[in-house]
Amino acid sequence: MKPTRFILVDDDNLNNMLSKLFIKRTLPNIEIVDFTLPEKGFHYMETAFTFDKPIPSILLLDINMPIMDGWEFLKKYSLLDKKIQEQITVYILSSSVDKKDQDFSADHKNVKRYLVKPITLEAIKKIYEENDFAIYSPG
Amino acid sequence: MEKNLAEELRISNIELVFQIKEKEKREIKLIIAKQEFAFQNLEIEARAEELKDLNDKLYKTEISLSKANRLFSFISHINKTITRVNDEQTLFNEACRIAVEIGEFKMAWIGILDPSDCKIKLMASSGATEEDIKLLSDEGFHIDGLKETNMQDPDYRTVSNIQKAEQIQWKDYAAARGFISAVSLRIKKSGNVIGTFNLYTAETNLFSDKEIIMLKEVVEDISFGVDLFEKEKTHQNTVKLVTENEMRFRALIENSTDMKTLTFKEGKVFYCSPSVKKSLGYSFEEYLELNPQNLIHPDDLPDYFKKWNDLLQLPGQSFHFRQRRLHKKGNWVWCEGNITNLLEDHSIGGLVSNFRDITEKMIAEKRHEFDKNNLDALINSTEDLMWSVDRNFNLITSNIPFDKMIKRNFSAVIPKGGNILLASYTPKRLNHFKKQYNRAFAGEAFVETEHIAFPVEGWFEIFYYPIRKGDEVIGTACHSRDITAIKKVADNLHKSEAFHGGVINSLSAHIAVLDASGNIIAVNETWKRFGIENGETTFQRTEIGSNFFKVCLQSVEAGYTIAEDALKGIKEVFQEKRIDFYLEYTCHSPDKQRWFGMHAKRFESDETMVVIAHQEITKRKLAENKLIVTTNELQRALSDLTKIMDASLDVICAIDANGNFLKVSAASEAVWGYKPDELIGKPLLNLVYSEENEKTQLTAAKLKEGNNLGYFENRYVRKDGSLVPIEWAARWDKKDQIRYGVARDVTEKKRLEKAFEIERLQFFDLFLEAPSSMGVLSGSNHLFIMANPPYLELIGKRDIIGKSVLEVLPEVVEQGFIEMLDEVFRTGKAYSANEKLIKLDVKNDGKLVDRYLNFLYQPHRKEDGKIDGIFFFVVDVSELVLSRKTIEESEARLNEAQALSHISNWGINLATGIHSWSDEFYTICGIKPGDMEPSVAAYLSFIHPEDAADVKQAIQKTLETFEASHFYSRLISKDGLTKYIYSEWDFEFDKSGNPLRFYGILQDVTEHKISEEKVIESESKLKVAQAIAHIGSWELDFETKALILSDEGSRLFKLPANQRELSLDDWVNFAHPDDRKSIQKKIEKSIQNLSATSFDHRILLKDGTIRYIHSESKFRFDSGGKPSGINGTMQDVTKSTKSAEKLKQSERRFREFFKSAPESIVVIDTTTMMFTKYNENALRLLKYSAKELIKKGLADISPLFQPDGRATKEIGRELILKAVQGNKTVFEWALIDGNGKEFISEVRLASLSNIEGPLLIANFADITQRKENEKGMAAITSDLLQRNKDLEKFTYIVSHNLRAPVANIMGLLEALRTIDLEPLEKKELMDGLSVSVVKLNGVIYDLNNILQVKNNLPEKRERVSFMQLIENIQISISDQMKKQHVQIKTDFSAIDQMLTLKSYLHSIFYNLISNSIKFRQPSLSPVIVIKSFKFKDKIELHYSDNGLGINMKKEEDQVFGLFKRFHKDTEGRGVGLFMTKIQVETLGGKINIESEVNKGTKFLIQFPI
Repeated sequence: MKPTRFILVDDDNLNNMLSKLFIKRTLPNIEIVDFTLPEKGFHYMETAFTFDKPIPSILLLDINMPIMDGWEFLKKYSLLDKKIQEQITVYILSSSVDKKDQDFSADHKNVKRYLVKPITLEAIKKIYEENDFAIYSPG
Repeated sequence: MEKNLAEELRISNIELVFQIKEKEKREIKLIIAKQEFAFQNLEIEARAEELKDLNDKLYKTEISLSKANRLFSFISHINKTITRVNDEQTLFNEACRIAVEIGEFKMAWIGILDPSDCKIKLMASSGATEEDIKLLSDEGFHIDGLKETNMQDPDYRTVSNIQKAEQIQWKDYAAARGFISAVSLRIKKSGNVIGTFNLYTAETNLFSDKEIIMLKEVVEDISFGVDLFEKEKTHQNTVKLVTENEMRFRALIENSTDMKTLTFKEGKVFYCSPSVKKSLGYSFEEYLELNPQNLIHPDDLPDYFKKWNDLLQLPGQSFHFRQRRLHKKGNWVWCEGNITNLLEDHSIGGLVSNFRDITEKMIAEKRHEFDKNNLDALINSTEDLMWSVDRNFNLITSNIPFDKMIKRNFSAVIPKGGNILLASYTPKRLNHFKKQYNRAFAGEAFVETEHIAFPVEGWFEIFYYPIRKGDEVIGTACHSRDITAIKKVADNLHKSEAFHGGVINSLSAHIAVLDASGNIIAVNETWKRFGIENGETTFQRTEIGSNFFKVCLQSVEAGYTIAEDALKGIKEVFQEKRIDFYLEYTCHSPDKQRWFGMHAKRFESDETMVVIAHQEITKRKLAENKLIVTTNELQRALSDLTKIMDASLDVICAIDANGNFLKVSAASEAVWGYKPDELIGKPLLNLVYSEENEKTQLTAAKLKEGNNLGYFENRYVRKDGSLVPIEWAARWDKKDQIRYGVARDVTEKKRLEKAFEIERLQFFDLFLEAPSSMGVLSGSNHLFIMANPPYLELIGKRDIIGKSVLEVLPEVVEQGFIEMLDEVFRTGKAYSANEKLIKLDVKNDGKLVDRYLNFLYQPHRKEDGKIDGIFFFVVDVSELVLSRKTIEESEARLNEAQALSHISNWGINLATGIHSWSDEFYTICGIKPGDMEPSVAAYLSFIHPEDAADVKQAIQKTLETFEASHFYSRLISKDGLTKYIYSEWDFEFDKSGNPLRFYGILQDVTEHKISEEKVIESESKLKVAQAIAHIGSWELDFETKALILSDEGSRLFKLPANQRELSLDDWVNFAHPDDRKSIQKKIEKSIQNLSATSFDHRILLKDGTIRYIHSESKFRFDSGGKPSGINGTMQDVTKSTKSAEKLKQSERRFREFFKSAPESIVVIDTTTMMFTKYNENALRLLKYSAKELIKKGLADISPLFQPDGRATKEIGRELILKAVQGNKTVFEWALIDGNGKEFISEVRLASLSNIEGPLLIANFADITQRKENEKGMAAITSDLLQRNKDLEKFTYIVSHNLRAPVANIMGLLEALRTIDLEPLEKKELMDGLSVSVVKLNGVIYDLNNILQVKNNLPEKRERVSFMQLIENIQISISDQMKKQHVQIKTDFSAIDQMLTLKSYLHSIFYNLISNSIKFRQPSLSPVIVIKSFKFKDKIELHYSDNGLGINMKKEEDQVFGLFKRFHKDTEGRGVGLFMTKIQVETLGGKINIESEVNKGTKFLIQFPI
């Protein structure tokens, strides 16, 4: 089951705009939600998923954000219901080329991959292709 | 016929009986008896004729008759012989001859029993052949083998037929000689048998009873004769003795040393023996003229008179006296004797006084008594025990301490003479003592050390010292000394040395002790450790036993020139050229530069040891080096000038216009006693002698007017108060307003001038006042040009000046004096003579008077050396010479007078060989007159065997030379007493010089000898006692002012062996100069109270040794109670004092060490936890006075809690206990010094090993500096860490924040390039691009700002007013302020200013205020409060607002982080607080935050002042 939704969490509005532009060009029908405030993004994570109708989703998460940064976001994310988590693949999308950030995310079990900004069409294609969710269906 | 014959015989028998009876009567009168014999003889002859006629046949009868006749004739002859002869031997000879010739016996002999060997000795014989005589000497040939028992048998024994007799063994001999029968008759003397008269005949049965009776009569006659001779001899001897005794008596009296006088009742002397002259000096005649009572000492007279008067009433009685009598020469002679009242004895009719000179005895007795008292005083003057024991272990003497000890320990006393070996000793101890005593008896002198545990532990030294009398050991003297104190002192010494060792080892300085030759004799642990750690890089590393000087020399060779200086310095310290020596030197190890200071110091009291201490001074050195570089140049310039000035012996000085010293050269110290430093800045006038102030000021004023001062003299007061005259040369420098002066010390010059004047005056004084005569002669004819009054008096002339000697004293020309003067004048040699006789016409009357002169002629030379006159000095010694001559004469007379004249009480008539002994002679020998025949042999038999050989020799020699002589010897009297005798003798010669008589005296001097021996014995006891106790005694006599010392006393002073006397001055001079005053005080005090006193002092002997003496003295009083002298003892206590001294010295050394140690040391008594000792450095470090510190312990100078939070007392006790257990303990410790300042110190605790004791050494070092350095280091490290973190963060920030806009730009560009975009989209992207670029720029700008702050320290610091600053900020944001109704409340009353970088401080507050406005609560107007606070070393600024606040729990770590933002709704790059923090820190401050969400935020900013 291919992902049907992209969730963008980045305080940088410009980046979200760019990401949406490239996703729309690659997957014109896919659903995209974006947040510049991480808290709001997280609230969405808690509420936008149900168990009876799973929506396979891709999360592109920035690290360097005020109030709640990417790592903190992930910490909270790991506490969410497994059934929610099963529906989401997390990608870090950061401007940082710091190896520490990359290593840290590589160690993180909930992070699929670390992407360095800027995002490209190829990157989105690849994300889409490498995700084939076997999501639990109630039937 | 037979009958007739028988009848005849009977008749003749009757007649014979009658005759026998007659004969008995003859014993009464011999002559009558003889006549009767003769008569009877005639009758018997007549009868025989008749009988012949009557009967020829009666041949046999006739034979027997003739035999009877023969016997009668025999008797008759014997009797005749008895009347004729008068000695035994002749009688015996005659008796034998008559027996053979008249009695017709074949042989007759007489033997007398020799009682000595109980043998019969052949006395006389007749008819005997030589063979017979030989045989008769053999007992076996005697008739009956005569034996002693037989001698007491009846009167005779006969053998009628030898051949038939059974017991006779000489039958053959008898047969050969024709002896048929024999008789042996007993000869008696005084009724006792003394021998036998033996007759042999060829006839048989010769010895009928009748004949035996007749023969018995013969021997009775002989016995009678013997008795008679004996009686006559006795009679003659008696007569002879009577006459001799008279002679002897006179001799005795005349020659005895005892004086005998006969005195009338009234006291007048009418006889005196010659010995009076010998003892008292008066001749016989003189003495008779004197009343002897006038000679008696006034003190002795009253008693004498009383006794004398009593005696007059008691005829026949006598009294004894002992008194002083006046010798003719004026001295008192002690006399002892008896006076007997013999007034009623007509042959005497006076009082007989018999006395002798006992002065010597008295002296001996007195001396003995003194010695005995002295001995008693001596042995009781010490606390030591003294006693002596004889060979029977009986106590002879003991002192009071000994008796006390016995009483204390045994609750008993040992009486004198009691056994010393107490039963209460254990057998083991008893045996021990016995053994020791016996060792001493065997002659060994030894010391035993005894350790006693009970009742109090103590050590004793017991001296055993044999007492000798001659060669014999008669006992032992013992002396027990309590040496506990010495022992303990030694113990303490040992402990204290260990203690010091502990201290030294705990020091951190490297310390070594050198002896004078450079050997290292001790080093401490630090020294050793340094050597191990540093190898052989410097000269300070060496081990004990190696030679430091050598190491230095090796270092010099290796190129360390500094070692040479070190060596020189240390040697100078040894040579006392300097007190100490300090040298700094480098000792760089490969990785570190280091400096050391070497300090060499002599022990205060010990010139043979030097302590070398090395201390690292690197830090100080580094600082110094900088200073040195900067000041060096200046110094050099100055020192050149100073050197020139200082080289001058005169003081060169510069004085400013006010008269104060500006500069003074070093000579000022020599001239004024002040060092230049002491003078600079002070007025010159202060030094000027007050009387010359005015003069000096005037001169100085003159000088200022421009008069250069060539010469000016005034006086100055030196530092020591003395005056010094100074000669000045001075110049005034108008330009600089300085007076330059050169001052010269002219003391010496002044002194010489004065001395010259004094000498001149002295010469005239001498000349005029001199007691000796002197004068000056001028020219070759000796004109008097000077002569002093004594000279004029001597020669008896006046007005002699200008006259020649020849004119003035013409009488001396012939005596050669002018020639002497000529000789001196010519040769220039001085001439002197002593006691030269000169005859002078003193009275100018032509009579010459003898004068003895000592004189000196001394040539006087002109300046060119030529002689122009003669000095003469004359001393008149006439009186001296004349009186000496008189004395010499009288001495000669005295010697003559002292020539020997002595007595005799025995004599040998050399012509007759007869010896005579006086009664007393016998008495001395213990026998009675008549007991023994006087002879040399008899005399010698009494002489003590040991002396016999000497005496024999003396007598023999005398008899060869006939010279007077004498000897002393011993004699053993018959009753076994040993007596000392004195014998003296002389000879009497006839006209032709042949010796007639040998006579002399024999005197019993035992009493004298014994008292002498007693003296010797007591003296020797005293000596022994003194020697073993090292106690000497002395006696000061106030009258003679002389000090008499005992042997030991003399030894203590190391006087020559025979010197026993010291003058008072000498004695005082022996006292150590430092002690004299105190001794004098003691003595003065004791004289005031006349009390016994004791004092300790030192004596300084001539060889430089010092002895410590304990003296005790007591006053001696005469009979009137006046003090007459002082008796004292002195004990050498050097040994014990030295030990104590050594302890002191060791302690002193320690103190020195302690004092000079470069560290701060205290000693802690761990029982009280208090400090007991501390050194100067400790006081300096801890800033307490010595008094304060001693009352404190470690806890008292520490804060209650240590930096690690633990309680001081608890942790302190723990550490001290650890150290006590022997662990070296080093720890950091907070201390509070005397000023209340807390500081961190490193404390090293070390227990003093080897010493059981509660002491710890604590060594403090202030490590505040080090601590701070460490802190600094930590700060730097943390700074570095921070920077590193910052750098990391920075990388991070760059990767996030810098790259974010870059990534956006890249993304946007990519989108623009690759994607077909709608125009609206395109515009959106282009706008986004623009925003990203602006953002990028902003980030770069921020980074630039941050890097600037971090790396640069721009601008100058300036004084910034907080108030001003805040106002400026308010103005710059006034729009916002108004808009948001912001209130800023400030209070900078505590402090309003600080020195800082204005822009930074501005930025800090700007950021804070703008943050407060930015993050305000929506509902509230922002209120900001800023306050300043001032502290000792810091300023605090408190900033608070009422804004949103930050959740500190969440954000604490990140508040001040770069690019951190806490508020989503508000713009901001997260740089403000980061920048604020960096700026605060750059200014050296700190910033802290406290915040609560929705309440506000507080910032606390601290800046150092």
